[in-house]
Parts: sequence; C-alpha cells; structure tokens
Amino acid sequence: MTKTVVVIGAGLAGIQVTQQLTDLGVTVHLIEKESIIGGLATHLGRVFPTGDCALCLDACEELFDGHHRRCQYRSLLTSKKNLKLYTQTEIRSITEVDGKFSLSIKSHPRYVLLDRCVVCLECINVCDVEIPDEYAIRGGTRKAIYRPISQGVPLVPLIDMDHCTQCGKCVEVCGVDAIDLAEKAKTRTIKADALILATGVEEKIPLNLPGYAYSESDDIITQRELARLIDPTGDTDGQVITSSGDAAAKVTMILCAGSRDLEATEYCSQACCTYSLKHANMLRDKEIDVTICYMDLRVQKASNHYLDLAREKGVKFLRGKPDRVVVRNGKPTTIVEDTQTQQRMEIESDIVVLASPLSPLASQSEVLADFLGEYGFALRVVKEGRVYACGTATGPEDIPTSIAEANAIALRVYADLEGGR
Amino acid sequence: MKKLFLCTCNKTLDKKLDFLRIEKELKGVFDSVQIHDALCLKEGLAFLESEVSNEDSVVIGACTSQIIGMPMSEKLKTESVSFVPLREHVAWVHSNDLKGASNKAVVLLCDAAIRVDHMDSPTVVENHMEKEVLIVGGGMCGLKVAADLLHLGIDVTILEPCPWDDTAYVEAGQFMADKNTLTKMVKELVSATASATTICCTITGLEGRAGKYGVSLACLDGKVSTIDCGSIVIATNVEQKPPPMAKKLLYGKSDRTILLGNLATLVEKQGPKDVRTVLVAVDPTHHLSAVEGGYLLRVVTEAAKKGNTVIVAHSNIRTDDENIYRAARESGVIFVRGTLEKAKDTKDGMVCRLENTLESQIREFVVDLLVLQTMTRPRGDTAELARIAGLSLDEDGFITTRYSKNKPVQTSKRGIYIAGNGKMPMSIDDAIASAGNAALEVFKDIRTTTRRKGWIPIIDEEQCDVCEACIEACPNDALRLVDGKVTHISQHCEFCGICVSVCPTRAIEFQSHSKESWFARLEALAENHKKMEGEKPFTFVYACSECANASIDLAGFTGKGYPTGTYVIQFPCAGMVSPIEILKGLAVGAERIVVAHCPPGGCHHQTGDHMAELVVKFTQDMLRSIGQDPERVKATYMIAALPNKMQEEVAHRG
Amino acid sequence: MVVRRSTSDLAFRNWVLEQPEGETLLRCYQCGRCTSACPVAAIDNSFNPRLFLQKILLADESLAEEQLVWTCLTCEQCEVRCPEHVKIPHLLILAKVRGLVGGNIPQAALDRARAILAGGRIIMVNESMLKTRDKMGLPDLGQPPVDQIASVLKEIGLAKKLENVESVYGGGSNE
Repeated sequence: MTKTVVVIGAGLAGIQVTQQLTDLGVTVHLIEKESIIGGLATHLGRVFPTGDCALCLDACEELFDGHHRRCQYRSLLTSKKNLKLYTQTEIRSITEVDGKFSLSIKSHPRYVLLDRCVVCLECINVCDVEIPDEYAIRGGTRKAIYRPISQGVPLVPLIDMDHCTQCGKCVEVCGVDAIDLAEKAKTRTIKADALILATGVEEKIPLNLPGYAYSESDDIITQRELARLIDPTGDTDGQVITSSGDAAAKVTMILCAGSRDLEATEYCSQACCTYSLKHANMLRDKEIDVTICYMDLRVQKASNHYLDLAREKGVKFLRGKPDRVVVRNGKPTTIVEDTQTQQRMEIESDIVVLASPLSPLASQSEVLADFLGEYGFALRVVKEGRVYACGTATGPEDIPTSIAEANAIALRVYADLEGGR
Repeated sequence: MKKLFLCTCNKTLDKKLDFLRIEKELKGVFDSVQIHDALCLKEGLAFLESEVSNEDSVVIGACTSQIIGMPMSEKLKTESVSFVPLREHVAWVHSNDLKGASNKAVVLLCDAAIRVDHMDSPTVVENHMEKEVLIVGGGMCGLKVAADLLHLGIDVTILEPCPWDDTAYVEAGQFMADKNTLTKMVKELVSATASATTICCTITGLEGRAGKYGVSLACLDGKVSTIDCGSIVIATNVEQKPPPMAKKLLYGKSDRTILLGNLATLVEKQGPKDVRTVLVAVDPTHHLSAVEGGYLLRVVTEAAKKGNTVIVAHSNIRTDDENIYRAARESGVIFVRGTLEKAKDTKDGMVCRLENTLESQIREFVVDLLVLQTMTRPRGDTAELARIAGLSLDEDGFITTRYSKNKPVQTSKRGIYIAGNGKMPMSIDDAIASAGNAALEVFKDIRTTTRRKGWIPIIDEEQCDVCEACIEACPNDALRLVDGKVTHISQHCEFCGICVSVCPTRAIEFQSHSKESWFARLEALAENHKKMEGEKPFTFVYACSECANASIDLAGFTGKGYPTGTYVIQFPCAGMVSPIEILKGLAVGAERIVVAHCPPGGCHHQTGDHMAELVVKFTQDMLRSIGQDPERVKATYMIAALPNKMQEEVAHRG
Repeated sequence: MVVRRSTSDLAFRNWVLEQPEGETLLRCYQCGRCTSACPVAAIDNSFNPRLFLQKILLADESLAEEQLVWTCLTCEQCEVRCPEHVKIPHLLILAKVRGLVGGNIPQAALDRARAILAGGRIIMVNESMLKTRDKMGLPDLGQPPVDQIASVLKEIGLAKKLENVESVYGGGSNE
C-alpha cells in the first residue's frame, strides 16, 4: 500500500521534499497557508549563491529528464498525480492515533476554480477595486481579484473577499465560468503516515526593535523590502526610489538589526550577510553609494564571491553596530561608531536597510508547538518514524543547504516508512 | 493533414490579434484552421482529440506550451505537434499594435508549420544502473551514505587508502563537531555499515558510463584489480592545512608555533597546573568558513576552560552557532581584531605584535605558544581522483558540483555524486544531510530503469574528421572516441546540442534541428516578415528553451512589451547555436541576432551559456574581418526573474 | 603609535571579573552600539565606552590611570542598548574604583569626597543658597549627620585613604 505524507509549507524545502517523495511513489499532501507556493522565495527575485531566480525548482524526474530544474511556473508540480496541493489552507488540529496522523485542515476559498480558469486575466482588468499590494513597497496597488506575483503557482487568480464589492463584473467577463463568488471554505480530514515540517522562516518585521525607527519612516526598510524595490517585477520596476519618489543615491545597510542580540533574536540568522552583500552589489551596479554597518561578515563559502565583488565595486564597510537611526530633514540618519577608527559617525542617507532576523514561522502555530525546540526551530527528526523537518524550519540556512536537507529527509522518510528491503 | 488550432483564451486575445485575418493568411499553409476559446480546458482538449488523428501534424497557437503542454502531450505525438505561445510572446507584449501583432502571429505560425515538417520522433534512451555502488572515502559521510543505502538493500563497497578504526573517524571529523557527538555518531554508523565491503585501495582509472562504470584500483599490497559499479559517491575527507602566513609566523622553525589541531590535543592532555598563554592567529587572507570558525571557537573555549590564557587575533568571527561564540567569550578568551604579521621567538616566549584595529593600538603579547588557525582543504588525493573522474575543482581544490544552488550533490558526470566535505567544509549536520542527499540520488537511479525521451545528435562518419572538438565540448561526457570513431553514449546525453555548434565540419546534426531545417525556417521567417511588414527591420532572438524562454514568457505575464518584428526562435540550449545559424539569420536580412542563454554558470546543460558567448564572439570576429558590424550579433543571458531583459535587448528598435 | 605590552597576569581584568556583575564584561563583542548611544561620546570623541571595555578586556591599566571614565554620566543609555546585556556603567564605575585604589582620581572628585567627610555634603551650602531656598518656599535643609558620616567613612577606611591620596594628575582645574 502506498504511504501518505503530509508536508507542511510549500516553500523551496517543502516543494523539494515533495518532489522527491512523489518521485519515489509516496503520496504527498502539501499544505500551504498562502495562495501561491514558493514561500519566502516569492519575495526575493534573485538569490545567492548563483544570482539567478529564487523560484527555480528541482523539477520532477518523470517530466524533465536530463535537466530536472525548472521555473516554478513551468515545473508542472501541481500536475503530479500523487501530489495534492492545498493552498490558503490552515491546519486546525493534528491527532495521532495508532501510529497514524489525522489532520483537520481548513482551506479558504479562492473563488476562482483551478480546473476552469484559463488565466486570461480579463477578470483582473475589469475589477474596479484598488488596494495596496502586499508585494509592493512604494504604494503599488492590486485589484480585489489578483495574482500575487507573476510566477505564482497556481497561476489562477484569487479573490480577496475582504475587499471585493461583489459587483459581479469579473463573473460577467469570465466566459469559461471559472468564478464562483459563493465558494465556501472546505474543512477536510486527511490521514498520513508521517509529517514533514517545512514551515520555513520569515523576515521579522522590526516594528518593535528599539532604535531603528522602522515605523517612523518609509525610507527605513528591511532587506526583503529592498529585494522588492530592486525587483524589475515590483511596483517600482526595479528603480530604487525613496518614499518621496526620488532616485536613491545613498543607502546605508545595518546588519544584525535585531540578530545576535539577547534583547531581540539571540541567534545569528546566517543568510542576511550574504543577501545584504548581494543587494549591495546590485545597488552599486546602479551607481548607488552603499555603506554596510556590520559586526562580522558571515558569508557562506559558496558565496564568498559576493564579498570579493562588493569590495571590488566599492561598497563601503564600516565595522560597528549603530545605536539608532533618526529621521532628520526627512532623511534617515544612522548614528554609529566606526570601531576601527573610534570615530562616532552620523551618516545621512536616502534609504536605510535593516537586515532583520529570520524567525521560524512554525512558532506562530499552536498545533505545531509540540514539535519545536530551541528558538522555535525543529530538529530534523522530531519523532522517529513520524515527524520530520527540513529547510529553514530547522534553523536559518541558505538554499543549497536547505535543498540538500530536504533531499536527505525525503530519503529518510521513505526508508522509515517503506522499511529496508 | 496539417492542422492549425488557435485559442482565443476566453475571447480575450481577439482584442489583440485579428484572428480572422490570421486565418485568411494561413489558409494556404494549413489544411484546416480552427479557432477555439479555451483549448486548455476539458472541452478544449476533447475538441482537439476529436479533430486530430494520428497521421496529422498539428500547430497550436495558444499560450505558453507549459500550461497546455501536459494534457496535450498525452494525446499527440511529440514529433507531430508544434506550439506557438501566441499569448505570452505576441498578444500580451504587443497589446497596442493589433496589426503588428497579427502579422507577427502569421509569421510565427508559418514557421511552426515548417518546424513540424522537420521534426523527428524522439529517441528513447534507456538506462539500467547496476546496483553496485562504490563509495570513495570512508569518513563519516562515506559511512552515512553506506548506512542509508544498505538500509534500502543496496550493496556498497567503501574504498579507502588505509584502514580506519573508530578513533580515526572521530579524529578526522573533529573539526565538524565536539568529540562526544562524533563518538556517538561514529559508533552508530560503524555498526550500521558492518555489512559493507571495505577495501583499502586507491583509484587509478575509470571507464564506462553511468550505470556501468569500471574502476581500476591499486591496493595497499601492490595488487591491481578492477571493480564494476553503477554509481560512485565521492566522500573524500579533508585535512587541516597551515595557512599562507604560516612561514612568516615561524611554523616549522619554532616549536612555539603550532597548528590548531595540535592545541586541541595539548589541551585534552593538559594537567591542572600546566597552564600556558597562547595566541591563536587567523589568517585574514583565508575566508573562514562557518565550520572552521566553529572549530576554532570550540578549541579556544576548551583551552580557556582549562585555565590557559587564550588570545585570538582575527578579522572576522564566523560561526553558524552564535552560542558557541558567546561561550568562548564567557570562558575568558580574549578576542583581538587584528592581523598578526610576524612573530619573534625569544627566551621569554613568542613575541606577537599586532595592531588591534578596535583601538588603533599596537599590542604586544608574549606567549608560550603561537597557534595557527588551519585551513580545511581537500585531502591530498582529491585532485588526482578528480582528474581520473573528469571532474573540475574550485580554487581551493574542492570538487565542484553541477549547479551550486539546487543540485548540491550532483557532479558534472552522471552517476557520480559528491557527499560531504569534498565539496566544501561543512558542519556535521550539513555533511550528514549531504550524505543523505547523495544516497537518495543513487537510490533513485537504481530503483527503476530510467527511460528518457529526447532528440540526440547524429554523427555523419563521412563528414567527421575526428578533430574531437565535440568530445571536448560535450559537458556530459556523452561523446567518446571508440575505435577511432566519435561515438555517442546516449545514456549520458542531455539533449542539448552543444556538440553541434562546435563541429567545424557540421558532421553532427541534431534530430529535429538539422541545418536544412534551420535554413528553411530562417528563410521562410524572413520572407514572411517581408510579405507582412515590408521593409521594417527585424530581429531574431535565438533563445534557449530554459531560462531565456522563461524570461520571454514572463515578459508577457508582466506586460513588459517590446516592438514587433522580434521573432523568438527556440533552441534546446543556446549552446547549440552555431555561427552557421547566426550568419544565416543575418544573410536572410535580420537586422540583429540576439542569442539568449541561461545566466553565467547557470546553464541547465552546464556549459551552454559559456558556449553561446564563445560562438557569438567568434562570429563577431568573423563579421569584423569582413567589414561587417559585429554589434549586430549579441549574446546575453535572460532569466525569469528579469522579465524586462527582452525589452532591454530589443527596445532600441521600433 | 605607542606599543602597549599586554600584561600576562591580566590583573585588572581579573579583578573586574571578580566583582559582582563584573563577569558581564566577557559578553562584550565590541559592537560599538554603546558608544554611538552615549550622550557624552556625542560631545567628546575621546569618551568611548566601547574602547573602555576593550581596554578592560585587555587588562590595560591605563584606563584606570586616565581620568576619562569619570566623565560618565551613568545615564545608562549604553546598558539599555547593549545587545549582550553588559553592565557598562557598572563596569565603568569599577574602573573608577580601580583608579581610586591606585590613587588615580580627579582632583574634583577628591575635593568632593573630602567635602563629604568635612561637611556631610558634596557641595558646601552658603548663605545665598539658603536665602534662595527660603524665597522659593523650600523646607529647611537642616544639618547633615556629619559625625555619623565621618565614622562610617572612617570604618570603611576611606577617610584614611583620603588623607594620604593626591590625584596623580593633580588636575581638577579643568573640571
């Protein structure tokens, strides 16, 4: 009998472990709370260590022999027969009976039917509602019926019922009857032989971080937000502009903005140094002056070239953790000691970018609480033969490590379920 | 019968394309033209099924073929269907130019009609992998791979130059984790791998192919033998090497200068009264990896806990566990941010003078021992092993993988994987994960006989003058010289066609992509363009079917429009584009040719990006030498994350 | 640049570590947030709490010898912002005590200590001050328990110390 596994979270690690297990013949229920898969990668555009697309997946073997790597939207992940993807879905309870799990899950309605929609996007064109876009940084908007990002999978749009006026224009324009405004949430029970947590991390929003005035100015942003600014598919078309719409000429980055800090996040988030360098290099390509305030530069071996490149391109490095950022004359000013000259500096810039810590998403869920350890991260094998974790759910790490971990866990789960031969 | 099916995508494309005119223009090209509103839906697929018979060749003008490609591919034979992504490559990017877009659609659909005539049925490549697995290197990662595979019922042979015992494993792994963790893991792994065959040999030669490798061995006792195996996992270990500055710091000259590993041993054996003052120097020219940083911190913490005075002169503290850095500081280790340039051995001790950059102050420490942070580097025999196996090394001598982001254990060779530290220094967790990953890849290979379908190169022996350029260029080792002839090992082929572009005599033709087919297509494209658009200049974009094609699709999705008169022509890989196709494009009248490939180092077939750049440069040189403008030809990368690339490359024209 | 030889016995550092909460010193990773937070450092570039901690970590007695630490306002802004919970103002007080033990103490501080011994107050109260207080309706100050203070200071040995000690820098005029 085929075994069934529930993978929680369809970020890069969740997708990877799902691809491998389904290739091995295991049935996988992949549960994602957002409307599209990809997790944190949907925000990032281009990623280290290769500098290419964040949404590049190790595609399934049976379809893409030879070069099993595809864009998320080309991966055909959702057409795998032994994979069931549930988007906009939350887990309400997990119970373990006789060595099997029973999960109660609730899927929120998309209001657009996956098997009917042809993705012509006419519904989006006719929608009159305009509301702030979650992926936008400089006031970009989206419609009430929308696709979060261009590569979002499923490609089918969804309706944000909180903002929909039920005017019916989209229904009218849809010639293939794909829109059902009356669709209801579905609660299901799924059974599984094992669980895999691939819940990932999110960049902490530094609202309550003292000193860095994140909530006081739209020119004090996080690295994730900078990634959106640089992204040519973002609302600024890749232009790095300030909140007043001017092109930024000077950017200051603050690393460890809340990491390695007993008062905030105790651990080192590992990836921030590298993606900050990646962004710094991209800003230098636009001839923007960049200063990085750091304590230590912790770059993975595979990404050392970003550091070398940053030095080559003239990124300024200042060793010191700033005390605060204050807004003066409308510009964020960073107050920091350059510990290597022992000079106290006040650096005025157009934009200040905070490398905010990566914090585990699993810790936001009550039903997963039992599986988590220190800082809200999980061990790879939480419970022998039953519960596993991979990707950044086990701690911050870069994509290659995450992928390797997901692959290793796939084999482990397979071996534990199917037993040795 | 040649049939054309057009899709209006829920009647939305007819605002951007004049379907009636397209139909009229193409009447003579196709035997039938039918327009449907939703080909990708159930009803559309049913319609196609009812309309298409096995003898028909079909052109579908709809959306990007990935969306409808799958359901269609089950109903139609690969060689008799050709897709034109009218939605993403035409309608959505030329939305304010109904006439131009319709003209372009006609030109592209005519091209597809020719393309489908030239298509061959794909070759089926079967690969049966022998079940025997050879694991090179019996360190902890090697043991982990062996344990995982044995558990799944797969026989493994572990190859080591010399026999190991438990302590040797712990010793070799001590840079990765503390001793207790290692001892426990080694015990488990050793007992889990008791049934593995272990031989003490080194590899002297490798032949065969993935699934059937023959490995020549030289054993400790001088015997020479060979073993057959299906796949090979390289799990070679690392060693700790003195840093570049070792000589300046009197390593080898003074007994007071030792390596980090020596300090670890000393501390372990240290009696309670035997306290020393030590300075640990980190070479700033060496990028400290997280695992090296972790090793340093663990050793100095132990040393400080035993009452020694420990000073660490460093320029950067790198670790993936902040708490071990905290523990080191709290144990009393003194961290000085500065570089030790030289040391002087005196009767009072080693005099170490350095600038502490955090106080801009030169400090002098007189210490009993000067300890050098070591560099974790591949074991000495790795380079030779890589040479034999045909794998490349990075600047530090580690074996490189196929694609560093999401192919963490695949080497450039099929059937050869790399687990653990042979790739880069790793923490114990990462190394174990890497070993598990390698075991998974091997297991997947062995589990079933793979059947891959694709177009392969056909070698014309009469044309071939055995220059071996293709053998050199093939990134997958799929071409070899056998009995004086270039022979194709289809099990290794990844259907890229790089061999075609490097062949100076065009003795290699790729199925479905022959020179004749290109000539016919390019001529027709130019002719049809002139028919539809007159003297308007036009551009050919030779796009690889992976990243570049995706970027162009996404240009459609994100509405990054560009002028008409731009024709995207798909190649399996940009590395297949030879100067012949480029020059032919120019000859038929294209104003510019853009060869769009995957990002640098990101080619799905490993070297296509590089090859495309080389071919374009070569062609530019040729153009220059005959007085033509080399700027008419360009190579560039396009990726889905940069959907504006297409716009940038062709926007200067209108 | 002057070369400073770091003492092998680390006396100063070890002494600090032995004091209550002195061990928090070790948590310092020299990020410099304290210095950028410090209001004194904002005015006087030579006042650098991070640098002071670095010197204590390296057992550099010069810190205690110099009188710069006495400029600390003990506003504790540095401690509030310290990511590693280092008790910075407390450590600077320990540095002052170290100086005091070695007789390295600013003249002004000495003067004040002696004023307490003599009159029970840091600042001598004069007639005009009392008048102003009266005008403002503030209560009578009364007399400090000078004898009591003197006996306490005598008991802990400070009185004797104050008799003998002179500021090595003799400064104070620039207070």
